Amino acid sequence: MRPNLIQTYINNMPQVTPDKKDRNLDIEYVLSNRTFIKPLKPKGELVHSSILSLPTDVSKRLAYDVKSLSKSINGKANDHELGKVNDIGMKIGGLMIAAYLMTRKQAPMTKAMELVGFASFFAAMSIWPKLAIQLPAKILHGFNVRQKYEDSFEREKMFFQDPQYLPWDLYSDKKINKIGDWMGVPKDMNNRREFIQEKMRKIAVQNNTLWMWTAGFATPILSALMCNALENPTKKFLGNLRAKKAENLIANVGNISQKYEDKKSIQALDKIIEANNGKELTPNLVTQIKDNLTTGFDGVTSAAIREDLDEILQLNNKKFSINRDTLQRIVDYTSKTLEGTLSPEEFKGVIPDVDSLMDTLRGGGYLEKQLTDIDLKKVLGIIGTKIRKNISTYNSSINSSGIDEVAVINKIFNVSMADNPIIKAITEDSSAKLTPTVSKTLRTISGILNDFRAKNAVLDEYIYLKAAAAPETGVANAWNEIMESLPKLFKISDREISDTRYDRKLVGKLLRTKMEQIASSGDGDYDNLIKSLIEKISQLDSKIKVLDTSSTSNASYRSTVNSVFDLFPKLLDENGISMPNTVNRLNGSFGSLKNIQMSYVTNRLLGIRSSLYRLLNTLDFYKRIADFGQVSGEHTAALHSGMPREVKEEVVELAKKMSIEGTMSDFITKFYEARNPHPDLNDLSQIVVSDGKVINKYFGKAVAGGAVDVPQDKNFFQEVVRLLYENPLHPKTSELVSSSVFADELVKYRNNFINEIGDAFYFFKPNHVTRNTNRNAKSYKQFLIMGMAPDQMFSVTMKEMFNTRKWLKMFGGLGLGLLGVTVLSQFFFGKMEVPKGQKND
Amino acid sequence: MIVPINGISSRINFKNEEPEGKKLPYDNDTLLENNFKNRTRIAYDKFTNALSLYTAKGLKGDKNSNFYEFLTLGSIPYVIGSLMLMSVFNSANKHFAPFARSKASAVGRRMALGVLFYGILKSFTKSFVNAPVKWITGVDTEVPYAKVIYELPDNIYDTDVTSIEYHKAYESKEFPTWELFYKSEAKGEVRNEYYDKIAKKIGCGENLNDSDQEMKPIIKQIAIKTDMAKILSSYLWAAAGVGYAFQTPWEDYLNVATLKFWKFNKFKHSLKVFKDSAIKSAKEMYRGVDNARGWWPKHAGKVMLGAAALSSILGVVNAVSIPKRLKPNTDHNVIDKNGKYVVN
Repeated sequence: MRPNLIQTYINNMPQVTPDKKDRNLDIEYVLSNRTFIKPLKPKGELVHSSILSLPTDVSKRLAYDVKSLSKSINGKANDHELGKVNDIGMKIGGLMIAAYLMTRKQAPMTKAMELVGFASFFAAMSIWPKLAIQLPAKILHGFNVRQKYEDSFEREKMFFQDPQYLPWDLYSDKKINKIGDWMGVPKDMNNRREFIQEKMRKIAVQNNTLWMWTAGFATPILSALMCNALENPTKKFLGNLRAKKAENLIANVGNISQKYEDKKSIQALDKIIEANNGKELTPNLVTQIKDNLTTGFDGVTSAAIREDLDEILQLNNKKFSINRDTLQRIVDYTSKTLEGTLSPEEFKGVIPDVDSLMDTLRGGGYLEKQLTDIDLKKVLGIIGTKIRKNISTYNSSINSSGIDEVAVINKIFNVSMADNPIIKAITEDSSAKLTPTVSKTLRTISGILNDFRAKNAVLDEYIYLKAAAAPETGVANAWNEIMESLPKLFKISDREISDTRYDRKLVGKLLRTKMEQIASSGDGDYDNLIKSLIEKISQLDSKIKVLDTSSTSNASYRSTVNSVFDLFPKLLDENGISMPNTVNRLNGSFGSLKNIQMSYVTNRLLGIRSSLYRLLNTLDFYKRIADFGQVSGEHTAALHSGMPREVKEEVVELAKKMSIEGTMSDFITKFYEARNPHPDLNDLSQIVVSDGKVINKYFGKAVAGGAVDVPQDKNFFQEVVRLLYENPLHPKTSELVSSSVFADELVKYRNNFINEIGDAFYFFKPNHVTRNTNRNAKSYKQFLIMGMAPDQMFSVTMKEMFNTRKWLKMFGGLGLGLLGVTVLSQFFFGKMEVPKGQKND
Repeated sequence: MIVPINGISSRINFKNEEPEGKKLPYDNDTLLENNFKNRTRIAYDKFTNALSLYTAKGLKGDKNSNFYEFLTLGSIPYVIGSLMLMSVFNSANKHFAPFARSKASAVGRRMALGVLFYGILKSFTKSFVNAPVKWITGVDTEVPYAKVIYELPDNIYDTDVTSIEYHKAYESKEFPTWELFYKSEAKGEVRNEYYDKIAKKIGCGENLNDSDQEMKPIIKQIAIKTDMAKILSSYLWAAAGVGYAFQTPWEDYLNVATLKFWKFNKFKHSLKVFKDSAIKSAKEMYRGVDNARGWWPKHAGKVMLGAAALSSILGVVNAVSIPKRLKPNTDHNVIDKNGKYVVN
């Protein structure tokens, strides 16, 4: 008989302590019972995760992913671990795509949406099967078809992924029976557990197939819908972030500006100075210095700085100054001139030393100043007198006429200017040399300019975040908020949006009808609309008032700009440096950088406010016409009794069109009204209005010879402007607006319109001025006061709304349909006949 | 009691006679050549089965549905998802007003191109790793084989119980189909020829006593490392593909793009513009956009391409680096034949 090898092995088995005590493994128990050794009990378990266990689960999975990657690199990974590398790769790839696409987008919001898109895509992949498969299946069949389990090697897997290998031992009888009860499986049937298991398998396979077929449709749609839903919160979040950043900038200009300082430029200047210390200011060197100091400034400011530097470096007129270096040279050159005439000892006694010269000249105020020719002569006189006095003192001290005063004086003074050692010494020390004094001045200027430039950069960044003509600035966000609310405020339906989306002209017509309806309806529509608009405009006003730059404003931006710009001349003064051209360029009254800094914001706000006030004013005008005859005649005074009815009708028509559709180019080049050149002058009756519309007696009817524009009738345009902007607001509007924060601004806007546009020499037609003041207004200001035409305003918003809604309808509908089909299908899953002879509950 | 197993055929055949009209191409598991024809045939077979047979079986909850079928069904969301992604960015555009339409279409078409490039690069760049590894080591981790499956009969009359699945020999790193690589000595072939070849290629010498046993751990390691490199690098290449699709010069091609090859001149022109756009786009991606601010926007394209290329290169280097400890000891004098040994 052959030996039983297994028995032999067990009897002689070496006692080996395992490296690591596995979970649930009682080694002592196993060893002590080794006679009955059998396969170890499986240690798998079903995974039940919850919100509470999420952080632990996530960190556990992350650790597993890292381990998987590291084992894969070393070639030791198993299949499960290699599968995890796929997940890692997919996420890294996705992140790379998002990071790259961010670089192709300009605005922070669109950049952020790339990341949102990346996250939402992965979220959609995970949410869809949970929402459309797992949840309905759980409700219908009582078990989780996407149940996960951890196998004996702690690998997490989907329980039903391989229907040929299902570790059923992980489900207890109790659990299986409970599921069976939910499914309505007969309670007393034979092999109930097997039947339920088979049913579960079947349902899971069906659901897995359904998942594979629906995920492709659902993931992109769900991801896009999520992005759509997250757009506004993201916008709000980023908007707040940018607003905080902007506030921080304006509150800490001094500190933040340090990071904008151009240290390289300061170092470069140091290098230039060190390399050329004491050397002549050659054109090349001067260019280097000027280029360095003007880096980062605009052309006009650079020119001003260069001009001032010419003065400081004394490059224009050779003006001279005296300092210790000059005086030393005077002593040296005089000594050379008097060589042979005076002995060293005599020289010492006669020629004043540097200190004594300094004292003397300082007393006369000749040190460190630009010397004029007269000054130069006076200096010569002073030094000459001192030398004479010294000779006399010297001669008397040695009791003889040892030094020939005339000879000395002649040698020094009675020579040509070029040979005069004192003149030579002074003129040679023109500031045309890079002396330590000049270097110091240049360094100081560089510091001051740098400081200013850095602070200005902070102001620029602030104003960019707040009010630049760019997407997602504070002003743009506030503006968009109002625009998005307009169609709803004007009760424009989806159908109307859809019908008018192709053409702004159609939007204009729609808007006119809406305004006429709102203005004529007696049920408070007008009041509600005006109130809502006032509220919206006030909200915007509160957001932009920090930018107010008017002279009476104490807004933070204005005061900070003032302090930054005022500091510049102050610092120059403190250091005794004169740069009049630069100071004028920065702080002057006309065209200065400070004015540009302020007016940029002023203009931006003017454009925004004008657009909104124009909408308000248009509504008011429609109300005044709708209530024509019901309110005092002063509100439509332009339609005076001397005006033929036909002209009145034409005036109202043009005013209605102009207020909704008029733009700058329309007014200047194209805008005209087809009128009857020969109206009935005898009919001076008033217009008739019904439901907000003028019931025209003449306008729109056939005109003999055809209707034409009448360019010479300047009264016509005057009355149109008066009707719109000069006649008082409707009492209702006045009442509602009077309590708003912008009541005065609206009045100002109406006046501005008449002043800058109504009275412009050439606006409607040449010389068609409203009040005969004939102004020469600037076209950019007219453009800003004109604001955005309401039809354009609505058209842009309505187009965007249509696009978003159309997309949502298409794909939202598809998504909902898909969800419905997915859920419904599950009602037909898991159908199994109970074996014959079994009872059915 | 352990007794040697002899004379048992490893080819157990449950089949009755072949049903009429059905003739499977393989009687037993067969290693296939990794060539374009086979790859295309397998991809076609798997995809059509996924759309038809596996779906039908899956929706029925068939008892023979298995993991292979579930995994094969996994290609469906990729295809539908790609088409859907293109559709999400394009389908609604035709309803928009003209200007908005042209703007949205420009983005949509590029997004569609991105999806296309993602798919293409994801699939093809695996060979950037696989081909060099195969060339250097002789291990082809993509080599396919046909697996004959015996299914449970639906009823006692069901004789159609076989089907074919297409797997890769090194699909499972824990259980590679080693047996398929042995040659038949009965046919006069060298049993370990495959392993001998690999041993020679990777420098483990020739005429090893048990080249199969010596090589298996090494091949397994190469297969794991190669797969990891294929996975990671293909995602990076795919990401670079999306970036590439977003370059401005593609606009030129997208404006004239047509697949109507029967309109010869237009089609020819579109191909020419495709070539020009492809070259210009590659340059733009490498160079970065002109007005880019900051380091990342300027160099993002280079980084994407560099990372993808580097991942392929490093992946190959890592895969072909075989640790010394795994290499067989070819020193035949390891055992000192004159020494004294105690055997327990």
